Amino acid sequence: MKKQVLELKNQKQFRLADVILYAVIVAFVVGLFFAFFKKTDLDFVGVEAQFDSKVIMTYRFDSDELNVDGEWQDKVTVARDGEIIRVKFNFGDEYNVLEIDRAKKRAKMIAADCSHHKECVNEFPAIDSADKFTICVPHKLQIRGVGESKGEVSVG
Amino acid sequence: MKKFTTKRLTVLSFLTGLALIAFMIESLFPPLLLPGAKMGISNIFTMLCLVMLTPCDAVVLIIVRTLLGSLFSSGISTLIYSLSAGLVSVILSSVLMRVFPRISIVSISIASAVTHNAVQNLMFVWVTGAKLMLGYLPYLALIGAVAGAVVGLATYFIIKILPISVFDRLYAGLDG
Repeated sequence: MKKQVLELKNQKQFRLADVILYAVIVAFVVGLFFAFFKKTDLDFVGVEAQFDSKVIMTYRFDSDELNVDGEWQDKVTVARDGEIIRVKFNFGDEYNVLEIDRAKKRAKMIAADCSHHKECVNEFPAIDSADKFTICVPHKLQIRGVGESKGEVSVG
Repeated sequence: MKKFTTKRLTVLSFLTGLALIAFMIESLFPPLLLPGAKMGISNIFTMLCLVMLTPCDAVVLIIVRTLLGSLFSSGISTLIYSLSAGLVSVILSSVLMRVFPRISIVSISIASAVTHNAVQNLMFVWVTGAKLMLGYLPYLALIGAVAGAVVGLATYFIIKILPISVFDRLYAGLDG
């Protein structure tokens, strides 16, 4: 163990052998960008909520139409204040509140009592394009932007 | 197999305590650009543990720090991602350190951090089924590279700056 510390004490910050490892890391990161980077060119037309991968609520900005799945009718409450729509998802004693701003065409989770940090409220950016989303892990709730192109509706 | 002496246990507990404190302090700050992205300052103590003690000690540190950190701060729901990512990255660091001794500690830390973020993201997608999170994977890997460089440099300078007498006292009765 001491030998390892002594070796490190005499070590340089950068060694020639590092180049190989850096090349592997760069290749890995570039590969990830090729595999997973995608910029959507779809028009942002609305948002949808999923619970456990099942769509439970959809909203369209153009028609101002909000639909809630039959099983979730008594667990989702909707309050309107002009162009602002607040959708509350109730999970027993816990909840998430999604605010949809029709005028600004954006949606944002504004309240939740799921975890200490409330990542869905504080960490995810507002959904203002078809490729944005918010996830509440404890409640298995996903809010995602809906995109539309050439008459087809697809989730971004 | 090195003996689990009182001295070794004390050093391990000390490093684990420091890692936990760093983890708790860092959890008070907002994420770096993306949800869940952190600098991972507590990993400085994991790297120090790998260098000063053994891979086995580093694994114990990761398990204890992740378990207590999840209980005290981020919530038990994050435990599975943090633990799996922590274990994979510490094993990778350990293998790189021993199989490729000519690679610097900074580079090992970068590789470890990139792996940590990638594994954490994949575990998150696997557990939650939220495939959309895969879109964050390349960015998280990139942030991991920067964070790993910071952690690696910090580890490097801590070992450099600490006088040799500290290690002489530490290893008296610990080595061998």
